[in-house]
Amino acid sequence: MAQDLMLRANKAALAMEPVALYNYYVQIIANTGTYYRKVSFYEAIPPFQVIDLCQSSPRGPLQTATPLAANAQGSKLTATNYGLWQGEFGQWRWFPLDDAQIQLFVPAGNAKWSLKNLQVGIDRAIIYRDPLLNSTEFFTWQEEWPAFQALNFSAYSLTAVRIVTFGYRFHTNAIVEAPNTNFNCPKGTLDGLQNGTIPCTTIFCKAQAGSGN
Amino acid sequence: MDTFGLTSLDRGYRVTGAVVNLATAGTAGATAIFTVSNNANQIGTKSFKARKISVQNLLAGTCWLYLGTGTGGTFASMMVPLRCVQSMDTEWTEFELNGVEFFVNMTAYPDVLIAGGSLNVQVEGEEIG
Repeated sequence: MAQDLMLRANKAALAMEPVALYNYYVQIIANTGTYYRKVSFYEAIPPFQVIDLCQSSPRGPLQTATPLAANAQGSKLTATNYGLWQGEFGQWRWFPLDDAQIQLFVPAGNAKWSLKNLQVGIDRAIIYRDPLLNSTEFFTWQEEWPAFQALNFSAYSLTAVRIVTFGYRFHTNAIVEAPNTNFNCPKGTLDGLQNGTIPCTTIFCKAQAGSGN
Repeated sequence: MDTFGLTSLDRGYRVTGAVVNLATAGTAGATAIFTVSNNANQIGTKSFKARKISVQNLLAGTCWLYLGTGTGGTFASMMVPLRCVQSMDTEWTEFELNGVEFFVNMTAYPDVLIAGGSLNVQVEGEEIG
């Protein structure tokens, strides 16, 4: 059975478009608050293994793995390798390289893809059925790390549960209006962004829990 | 299978190991025949599957070649042994080999050997990760 999933990941990365471009205004809704900022730089992040849920931080290959037993659910583990510099947000897509079902949390306390009755997870088949991985996309803000939890639904233990990810990192600056020193936008921009007269892109950098009504 | 359609290439990297001579019978003779990529500074975990195994029987007698991990007393069998016939060369390709995934070095040993005989073994692995 051929299975170079990394090749598929690279093809998916080729087709992924950044959510914002240079000088875009963005409204970042993070776990810690809402921020209006301006994109100053972005770059694509090629596919890489961000975490192996069977190994402890920093998850190097030489560390002893703790296999995930058959029909067992592993611990929820924070993927600190998603950490970004100050003022940066990330746009990510991902898939598991190994045979487990994975649930995502953004950040660790907020379940992603929550319905009223369950939290949807994905498994390795996602890269065959959604080759561009659109449905796996999520955003992070600075060091508000996401977390993953693996479920081994198979009848054999897994030596590794590796997550491969790719996407974009965006550096943003705070909005400084003229005539302030080092201004980067006209006077009144922040008011315009907040009241909707100036367009901006909303970046939702967290999972959203449901509410009673 | 190539659902995206850019290329029919749907493979990991094929890497060929060195020719390894196995001259000691039994688990005491278990020797690495393919080495997993494991640099301490690399990002991520590499694994591989054996996609092709070539064996040259050098007057070793007909024997079983056991395939697994670990050496000596720690050897753990991972695949069904392969029959190596006296003075013959044999190749097993991915059509015959189960896709067992190795996260550590793959090792092997012959169960018996005629005195002075040995096996030359070479593995072509497909790297994942």
